[in-house]
Amino acid sequence: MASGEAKQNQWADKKVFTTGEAAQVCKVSQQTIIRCFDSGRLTGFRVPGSKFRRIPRAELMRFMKTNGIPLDSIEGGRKRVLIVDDDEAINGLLVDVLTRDGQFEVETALTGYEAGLLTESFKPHVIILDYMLPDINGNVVCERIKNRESTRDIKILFISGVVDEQEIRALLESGADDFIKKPFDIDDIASRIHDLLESPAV
Amino acid sequence: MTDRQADRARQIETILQQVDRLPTLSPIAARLLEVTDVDDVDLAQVAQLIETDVALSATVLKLVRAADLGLSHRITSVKQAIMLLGLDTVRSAVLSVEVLDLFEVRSSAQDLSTQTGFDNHGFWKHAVAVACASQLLAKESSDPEVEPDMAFLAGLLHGLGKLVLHMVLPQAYDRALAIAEQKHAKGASVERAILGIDHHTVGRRLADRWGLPHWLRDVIWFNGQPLEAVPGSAPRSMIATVSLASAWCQKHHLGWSGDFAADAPIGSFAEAASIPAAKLPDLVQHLLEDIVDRESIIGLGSETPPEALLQAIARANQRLGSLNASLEKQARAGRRRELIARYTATFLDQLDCGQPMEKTLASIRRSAASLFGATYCGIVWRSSTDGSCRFMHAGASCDDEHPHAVTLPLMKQRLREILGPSGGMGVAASSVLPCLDSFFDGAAEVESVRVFPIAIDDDIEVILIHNAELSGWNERTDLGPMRSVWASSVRAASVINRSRGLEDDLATANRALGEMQSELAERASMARLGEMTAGAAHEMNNPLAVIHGRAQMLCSKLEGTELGGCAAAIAASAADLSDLITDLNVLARMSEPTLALSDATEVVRDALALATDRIGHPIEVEVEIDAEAGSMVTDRKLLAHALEELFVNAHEACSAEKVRMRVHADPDAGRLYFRIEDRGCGLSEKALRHAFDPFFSEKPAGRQRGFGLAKARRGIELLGGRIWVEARQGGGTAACIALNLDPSIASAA
Repeated sequence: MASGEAKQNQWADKKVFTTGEAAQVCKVSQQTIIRCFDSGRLTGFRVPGSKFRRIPRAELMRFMKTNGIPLDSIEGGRKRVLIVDDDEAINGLLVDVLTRDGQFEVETALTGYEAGLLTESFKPHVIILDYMLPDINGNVVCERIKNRESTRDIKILFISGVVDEQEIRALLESGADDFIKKPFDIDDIASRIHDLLESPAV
Repeated sequence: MTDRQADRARQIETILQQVDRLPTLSPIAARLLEVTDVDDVDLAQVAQLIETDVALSATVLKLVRAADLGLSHRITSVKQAIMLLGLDTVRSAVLSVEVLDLFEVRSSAQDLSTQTGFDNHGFWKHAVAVACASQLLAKESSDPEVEPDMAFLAGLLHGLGKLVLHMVLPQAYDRALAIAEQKHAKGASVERAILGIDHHTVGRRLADRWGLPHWLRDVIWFNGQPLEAVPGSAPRSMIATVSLASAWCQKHHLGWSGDFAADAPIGSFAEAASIPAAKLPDLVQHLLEDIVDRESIIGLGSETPPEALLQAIARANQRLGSLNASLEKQARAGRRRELIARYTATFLDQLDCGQPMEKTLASIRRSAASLFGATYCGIVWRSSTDGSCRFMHAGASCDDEHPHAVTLPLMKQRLREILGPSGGMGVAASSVLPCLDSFFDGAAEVESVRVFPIAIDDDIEVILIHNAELSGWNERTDLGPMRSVWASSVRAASVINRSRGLEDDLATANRALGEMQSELAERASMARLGEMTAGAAHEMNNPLAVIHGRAQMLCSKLEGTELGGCAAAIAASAADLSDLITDLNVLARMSEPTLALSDATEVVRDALALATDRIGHPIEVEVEIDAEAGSMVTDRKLLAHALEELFVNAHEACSAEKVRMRVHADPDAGRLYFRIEDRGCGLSEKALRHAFDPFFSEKPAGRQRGFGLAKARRGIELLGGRIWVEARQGGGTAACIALNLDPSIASAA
């Protein structure tokens, strides 16, 4: 199990795949990968001066999504959660809650700007987003993420101390997937994240 | 110069212009006046002048015969006559004839016995009498300036101004004469008051225009005036002679003088004219004979002296009689005025303007009944705002102090229209207001009940009806003042009542404004609280989230230990605190209701479901909804939340019996009621009053109740309704909500 995990971590950092590696990731034969490559259904490039096929990570993921192949193997086993709140104590609490049995990989951001950067590099599955951020409001961050093809699938869970029903409705309309009120039940927040990830991708 | 003065000046100007338009003397007369002014008179020329006019010639010859009957048959030429009579006599005669011709006196003799105003025939009789008297007196005068024939002419024309006024302003002058007669005043002063100018001035104007000699003009100008007022340059003796003659003729009622002043100072006139006063009585007989002659010469009539005297005496008697009658009339009027004054004083004494209209009307009715001596008297008041009518009456069958007061059916038509422009004074009441007939005491009276209008104008319509006989009263002069007093009291009462009404309206408006202000203030404070709690919710919920979360983590690690329990308590308290903030925020941010037709049963079902969620188990409520309260226009959610709070509250009161709820409507009041009763422990007086205040609780500390009832009240107030709790008879509490059936009507308070 340990070696399997190490292997998964290895795929998680890889930028370019050989047909053999792609076959392992997709759990199909190398011949199938080569056939798809040659027919153009899986695009990539050949190493200059040779005929070795190479497939970039993003293209491989697109291929896997298109064909309904689970992304678990290429992304690694643990789901990544980005926590965005200007209150470090909240961030600290959520980090402790979500990492206590090692089920999530967690990063934190204090501002909307930082959240944007980390969305690119960390590629979170879920963002826990506070509504009131120092630079941009949470709903703007939410709209940006949901309007971009590459980040549309990221689930967004709002947390806020604000309780106005109209504001909550506005947040959900801006593309948020769920809302949780501060203070929250720590078991409830973990189960909400699991629920969001199990829901089918749009 | 005031408008009035300007009017006066214009009027005088008009009169003088009209005087200037009067006919001028004939060329013969003018010429005659010219030639006689020079000393060396050519008699032949004068005679020739007169002979050109046949009428004049005849008059001069008649005059000669009258002057000396012995010679008359032999005198056949005008020249002879002139020589015999003297130039002055001829001139006087000519002028007399001229003036009489100009004013056409002979053709316009009128019936003079009863008519007031200008008496043309009488005027000329008087003029001739004065002329004769002046001539007679002049003969007695020791002053050589007073020449008899000149005196004749002066006497004849002394009243020329009156004639002029009669010619140019017949109606106004008649009025002035009537007033002068009534007041026994000097004509000139009344003329000045009414016409702006007197006959002296007007006469002088005409004399100037005709070019009459100055001495004649001055007689016309100053006759009858106190001699002290006559300038020295004027012929005082002549003026005094004519004034004396005029006063004397007036005294003996010879002709019609147009003057009604008390006796003139005959003595002082006689003295100024240098005539011994003792000789005056002897002159009367001469005078009467002379007048008859002269009248016939100038063609005024043919009465014999005794007849003239008898007529004068008869006229004097008649005058005395009318004077007596007028005195008696004045005394009667005086008595009535006194009576009216007494009633006015009594009425005003008893009147209190601040009292209601009804009482004022009763006072007027009582005052009128007593003044008129009516056995039946009622008063009708029609309100001009809505046409409603009040009628108050008392007669034989009921006490005068406590009249019957009834409200008549609405009267669409104004009394003014019903009664017509005359105001209906004296009209039979049953002919104009048949609706009153049924109130009169017996059929016999119906005929005798008459209308006496008190005030009929745009705002006030009040009339009296009574059965008294008012024929002895002059409604305008006698009852006018009383009527004005009554009308004024009604108007005053009406104005005061109306201003009271306005005050009430103002008070109501103020109250509404006050309520609106407090509502606005509450909204403003709610809005501030909303902003504050929104900020607070964010700021406080963050640390609360940390406290809560950390405590939960501790709790999961220390599960089963004593410390684990502590951690759990911390978490629970943090959650409570957060709930409190949420409630506060909800209370502050409650917004305008969204109205829709809702079913009462469904609203109650919603509320019960919400209460069940809160408590954790279903609560038993006996619900009874009246048929007419089945559906309503309301904000279903807001109302359900309010009812939820009341249900939870009733449940927490640990009711001994099932909680009961009744929903019923009162369509007349336009209200819908919800009543929730429990048989629990009940509330104290203080708790009943403060049940809906935020944070209020009589329960021990630590069992705070949050904002439940405060939220309910806020919601119901937003719906325009009212919510309250009251002690239920036989123990327990009743919580009530009253809503408007039509929520667009602002307040159900």
